[in-house]
Order: sequence, then C-alpha cells, then structure tokens
Amino acid sequence: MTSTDLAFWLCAVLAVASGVAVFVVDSMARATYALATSFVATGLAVLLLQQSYLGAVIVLMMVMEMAVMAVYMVMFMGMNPALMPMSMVHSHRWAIGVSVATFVTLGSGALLVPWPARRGSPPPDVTAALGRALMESHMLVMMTVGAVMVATIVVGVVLSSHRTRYDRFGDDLRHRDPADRGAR
Amino acid sequence: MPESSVLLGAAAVLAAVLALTWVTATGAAMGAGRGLVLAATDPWLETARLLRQRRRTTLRADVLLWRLSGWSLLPLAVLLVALVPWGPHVVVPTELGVVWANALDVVVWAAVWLLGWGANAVAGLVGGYRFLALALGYELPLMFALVAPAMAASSLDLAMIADAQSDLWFVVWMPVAFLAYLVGVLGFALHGPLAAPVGDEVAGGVLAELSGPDLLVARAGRHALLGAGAAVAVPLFLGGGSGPWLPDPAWVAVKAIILTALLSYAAGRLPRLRVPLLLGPAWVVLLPLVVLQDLVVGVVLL
Amino acid sequence: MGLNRVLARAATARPRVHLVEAPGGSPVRWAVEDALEARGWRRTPSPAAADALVVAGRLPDDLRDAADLLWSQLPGPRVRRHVEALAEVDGALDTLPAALRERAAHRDDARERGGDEVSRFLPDDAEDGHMSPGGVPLAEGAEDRDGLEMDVLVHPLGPLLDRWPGGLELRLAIHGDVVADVAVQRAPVTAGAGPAAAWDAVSTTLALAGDRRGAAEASRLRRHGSSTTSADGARLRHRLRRWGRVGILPPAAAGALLAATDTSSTGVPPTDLPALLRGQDLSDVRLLVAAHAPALLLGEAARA
Repeated sequence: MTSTDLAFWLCAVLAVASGVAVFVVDSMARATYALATSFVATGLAVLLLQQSYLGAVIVLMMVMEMAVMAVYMVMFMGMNPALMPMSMVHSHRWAIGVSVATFVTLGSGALLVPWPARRGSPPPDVTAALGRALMESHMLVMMTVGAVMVATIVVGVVLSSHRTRYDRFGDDLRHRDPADRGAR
Repeated sequence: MPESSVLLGAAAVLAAVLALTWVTATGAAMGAGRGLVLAATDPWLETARLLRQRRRTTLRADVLLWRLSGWSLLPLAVLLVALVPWGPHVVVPTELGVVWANALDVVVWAAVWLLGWGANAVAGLVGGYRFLALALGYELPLMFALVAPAMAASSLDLAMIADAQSDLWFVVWMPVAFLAYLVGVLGFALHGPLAAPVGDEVAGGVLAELSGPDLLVARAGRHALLGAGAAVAVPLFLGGGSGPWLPDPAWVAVKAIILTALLSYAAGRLPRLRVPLLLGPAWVVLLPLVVLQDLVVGVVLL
Repeated sequence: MGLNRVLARAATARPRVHLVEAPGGSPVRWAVEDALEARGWRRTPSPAAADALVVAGRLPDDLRDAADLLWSQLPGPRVRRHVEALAEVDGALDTLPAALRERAAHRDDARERGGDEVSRFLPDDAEDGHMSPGGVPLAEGAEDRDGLEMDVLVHPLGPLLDRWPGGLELRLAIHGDVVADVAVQRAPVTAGAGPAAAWDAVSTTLALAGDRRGAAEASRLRRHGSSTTSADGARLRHRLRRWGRVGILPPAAAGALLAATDTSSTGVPPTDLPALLRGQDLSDVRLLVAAHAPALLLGEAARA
C-alpha cells in the first residue's frame, strides 16, 4: 500500500465518519462543522487525484458555505449553543432506505463499469488545462450563468425582505437615523 | 527536500510569525496613542501575565469547539506565512499559493464564529455573528483583489507572481486591488475599522469569556493574522524579494515588517466601524471598483 | 526560582484592571482613571481577562451581590479593591502588583472557590434538566421586527459595568443583538451635568467606539477643566459632529454629546431611556447610554 493509498483511505474514513457524526451529535454547531470536516476530507481526497485546484477550491468553498449556514441556523432553527440532545433526522426509515439504495447503485457503478485505459499523459499544467476546458468553448455560458445566479440570490433576498431601505431611511433615502424602532 | 532545510524553514517561519505578531501588537497600540516603549514592552508583559492566569469556562460551554477554534488562529497564521516565498526558497512549495492563502483566510471564518459560539454567552454570540456579517462584506472584494495579480502574472504560484513584478510592482498599477486586499486583511485579523467582533462596547466580543493561555493564543493569533496577511501581500503586490544590496529573503522580511507596522498603526488610529455602516459601501462601492480594477488589468494584458 | 520571580514580576508589572463605578462614585472613578493612565496600566472591558476588580465609590448594600458576581468572574490570581475616597486611590493601586504576587494567598483563594461559584447567582428553582441545560431555562421565541421568530433573551446591563453610569440597571429583551424592549430596573446616580461630566461622557463614548486617542484627549479636557471655547475642545466637538453625520457614532449619541459640551446652551433635556434604546443594537445601547449619562439623572429626577 503506497502512501497515496493510505492517504486516500484516511480521507475516506474521515469523510464518512464525520458525515455520520452530523446526525449523531448534540448541537447545531457541531453538526455544521462535522459536515464541513466531511467536505474538507473529500477535498483532500480530490487533491490525491492530482486535481490540486479543484481540491483547494472545494476546501475553500465548503468552509465558507458552512459558515454561512450558521447564519441560516439562526433564522430557521433554535440556536441553543449549549449541548442538548436533539434529533437531526426526519422520517428516517425512508431516508435510510433511499440513501442505502443510492449508495449501492453508485458504488456498484463505480466498481462494475469498465473504466477506459489512460491514453497519453496528463498535461504539464493541469490547472490551466482544466481552466481552458471549462472556459474556452463555454466561456459565454459561464459568464451568463454566474451573473444570473448572483442576480437571483440578490433578488430573492430583496423580494422576501419585510423592510427594505425605503422603510428604514424614508422614501427619499434621506433620514440618517434609521427608524428601526419597535417590534411589528 | 533535505531534513535540515525543512527544519530551518520551519524555524524561520515561526520566528517570522513571532516578529510579525510583536510588530502588529506594538503598531496597533501606538496607533491608539500608547507610547513606543510601553507599546513595545506590553506584548511580553501580557504574555507573562496571561501564562500565569488561570483558565476559566462558562456554563455549558461547548468546550471542544471553543478551545479548538481559539487555538487554531495562530496555526492558520503560521500556515499563511509558510506559503510566502523567501526569494528562491519556500517552505510549502505549491503552484496554487493564491488559492491556498484564500482557503486559509476562509477557515478563519469558522474559527472566529466557533470562538464566539463555543462560549455559550451573549458577548461571544454577538461578536461571532457580527464577524459573519463583516466577512460577507469583505470577502468578495478580497477574492476579486487576489484575481488581479494572478491574472497579471498568468499564474497562481506566489513565487511566479513575485517574479513577474521585476520591472514594476503590482501595487503601482493595481492600487484598488491592494486596498481591497488590505481591507480583507483587517477583516480576518479583526483589527481597526473591522474590529467590531472584538469590540469593547460588547465587552470584548468573541474574546470576552477567555482568560489565561486561551486568551493569549487567541489574541496572538489575531495579531499574527494581520502580520501574515501583510506577509502574503509582499509577493502579491510588493515585488517579493526584489530590491538592491540585500538578498531576497531579507527584502521579503523587511517589506513584510514595514507593511505590518504601517497597517497596524493605521488600524490602531481608526475607530471601529459599526457593522451596518460597512456593509453598504463594501458591496456597493468597493466590490464594483475591484471588478473594474480587474477589467483594467485584463485590458492591459490584451 | 529566579526565573519564576522574574516571570512573576513581569506578569504583575502592568496589571489589567476592571474598573466599575458605584452610584455616586464618578469623581473617584475619574481619579482612578487618571492614576491608571499615569502608571501606564490598562483597563479591560471584560472581567475574564482582569487581574484586579476596582470599585470606585461607596457601594450600597443592595449592590453587594452584583459586585460579588463580578468578582466571581475574575479567573485569578485576582485582587479586589474598593476605593471610596480620592485619598485612597494611590494607596489602593500601589499595593496591587505586590498583592498579585502573593502566591500562597492566591492558592488559598483558588482552593476556596471550588467549581460551583455561579449557582448562588441562579434562581433557586434552577435545575439542570432537558429544557434547562445547566439550570438556565431555554429562551422563549417571539417575532422580531422582520417577522422571524427569534429567541428572546433577557439580558441585564449593569448595575456595575465597565464604562457605565454607576448603579444603572437595564433589563433588555433582545432578539439576537437588537433590543426589543427596555426596562429600567434601577436608576443611576450620575455626576450631573457639569463640564467635567460632559467631557467624561465624551471620553467614555469615544473609548467605547474604539477611538482611544480621542478618549484620552477628552479625559485631558475633563482633568484640566478646559472650557469648550479652547481649540482642543472645539476640535473634538467638530470630530463628534462629523462622526455623527457619517454614522460612526449613532447620531443621537453625537447630538447628546454636543449638547452636553456646549457651554452656551441652557441645559440638557432629560432623556427617556426606554424610548431611546428600543430598536437599537447592543453596541449602540452602550454608546447611547454613555453619551446620555449627563442627562440621565435629570431624566430620572424629572420622572420622580
């Protein structure tokens, strides 16, 4: 067993174990960061595939997303920081059945599909090759999709917001002291 | 890499982090009006005081996450400094220095929020959520600012970006990106105008319930992150090791220390800004300006 | 042993002080602040990082529990000083470093504290249970100003707090960090509305806002009793006006400070604290209370 194999198995076990921990721990923060650990372990496994850029970006994005999830935790769930027994699962019989079935399907696919043999060797700069493959013919799509996604997020938040800046600063946005007073 | 040079490199990184931490603490105190002698001796006396102080905990704190996050700020700064190329040598050789530096400063998000959450106390929670709000404001300009030198050098490798500045430093023709980067550094180091998560008016925020060695490493980590951010700015914007007379590693150290001193002094002079005051300009003014800067860089490269 | 002695001397050379003001203790607090500044010692906003708890002014009996609660938050080695008169200030502070070095006394203190100090401050029926971890009941939910159901926390501020009018106790019902409701539990005894109190309010507000240079400048003006027509006072007032416009200080706070330091105005209007603080967030509450400190006594007296 080479060191790559060892590293892979460590990352894999860590990813699965922390994924299980998400449903077992007693606090929302621990569940969130167990999920983050699982993602980071997956990102590190991607590094082993020589896709360094993808691995680094996975680590970066997942940690940031888990931090933002903490904000949503406040909005939608009780946010008691103390450790209290809580149940993270809903309709768990169905969920277990579906997840086991999905795992068996994908896993058997990975094991039973005849993978093609490698033709040639990877290009010297893998990141640049990846960038070119993503961007060259699909540049217009990438640009449009990115801008549309950001616009959607912003519009969604604005539409769902109870009070906008016109409520706070007055119709001509002049009032300096935002009139945020009092409950509804 | 031979064993001895790895050890030497690690020792150099740790010494650099120590020096940068000391410079930051001194600079910030001097910016706030404390005299030079007092400001320079404070860090050592505080270290002795906090090592002698007992640890404390709060009612039903999440001790694992709390201690882990507090103790991880300093290692994050060490890893950031380890990415910086000292001329031809680099402790952690990687072709993706820019991306890893960005990933490390995003892990600071997790550390600071958990530090606030773990204490199970109002001051910590308020500080932690303030930090997330500020982070949403400074992180995008920071990421776009990191794109500019990478584009200009056609590489994500910090050593290559440093080498691409042999005729003109990037700070000269990318000032907006440099400014956005420095704002980002103040943000993840919790200093200056972006220090609301550790503000006095919320009793110290995320640092409120810490004492003894826990407080020492959290405060040291906070100062070290400012120094580390400044150190990473050296290959990104300030030409890396280039300069007359001295060898490359010496120039990297000199530039990092000067930038740290100036940045921490400026941070000490400026008042803490309230979070709602910062978010508007960050999204509406700073981010478009940085994107425009990237456009300028792209046009110049064509 | 030599190294231990050196470390102990270094550790106690500049103790960090948590300074709180008892009702009516403003002049003593000013003297303590000046003495700390002269020695180069610093204050800390949280008792968790402090070596010494200094209570400035005579502590009334009903606040003894509050002082004990603060005392229990100091980690140790810790020292407690009650400074009740101007003459006692230097003596109290001079003995601090030596008192912090008495290892035997601190060892006994640590042993006597035990692990269960906080329980005497919790209500009697508090029990560690499913719905009340550690004996503190879970927060109830209520709708906040955006229509989200947020936990409501009843957060007390005062009666003994760093940079806070002595004796003022507020119970804030907060959603996250926004104040939904304010109840004044105990009225303060402040130093009134003279120029010293006005510049002290400026100094406290600027210190809370993170401008230590401005705070030191305002303290200097308070110490020397400088009239506001002097150049330094005018410069500081100009900065307050600018910051209130930009939003670095809440506009109400800047307005109150400008009114208090204006020698040509006839008086400071009384303040209705609950109406002022409702809808603000926690840091604005601290800044507003600090800025309105000269007007608070008048407000309470007017209501009485």
